Amino acid sequence: MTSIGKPIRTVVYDPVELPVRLQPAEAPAQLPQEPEQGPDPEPVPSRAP
Amino acid sequence: MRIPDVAGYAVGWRIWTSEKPPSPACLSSLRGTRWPHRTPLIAGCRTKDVLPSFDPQYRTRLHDTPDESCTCGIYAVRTEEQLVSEHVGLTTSALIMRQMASEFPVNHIIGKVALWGKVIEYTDGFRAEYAYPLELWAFEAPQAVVSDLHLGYGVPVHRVSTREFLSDFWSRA
Repeated sequence: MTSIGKPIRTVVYDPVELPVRLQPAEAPAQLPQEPEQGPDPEPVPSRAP
Repeated sequence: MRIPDVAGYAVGWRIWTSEKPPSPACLSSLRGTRWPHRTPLIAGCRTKDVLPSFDPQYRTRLHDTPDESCTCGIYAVRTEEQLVSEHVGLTTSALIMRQMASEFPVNHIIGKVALWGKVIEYTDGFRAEYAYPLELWAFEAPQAVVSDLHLGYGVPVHRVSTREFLSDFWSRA
């Protein structure tokens, strides 16, 4: 196993920009999409006067 | 939610073997983990699967990867010189193997890698949560493999003659 010496510190890196555009590491589960709005209301027939 | 300490990534060095065509990829030398194309490699803790432990709680404990109290994570060293010094015997073996092999030889690849997420920094290297290659040098690789690695990872890939590389390395040492 590669020797990496002694631990110094723990850092959390946020790669703002990698040289390569990567796909997400874990694709979110595909949930069935619900319509943003309900179906159009049925037209109400106008009554003749 | 974690608050990042640094915007950017750490840069380390790795060695792999090359997966055979038709879809060449970098395989970790130790466990054969395939580094995926266009997707970060994510560290996972397999310590409980591989290493015996005298502490049953340790074996079953779930933790973030890498964890300070574990040996898990994606390993990389800090410098090319350090990497080659440790693996020069391996590289020499690869040269001998290539001379003996009649089929596609087992090629070695070294490269710079980006490391991010949770990274435990060591005096000589890193253990990281995420990683992706930045630039690769493929030893004695056929041009088709070099091209496929470049297309697959989208990073610069160079073909390297093992003999010339070792000669250059020893002249710099």
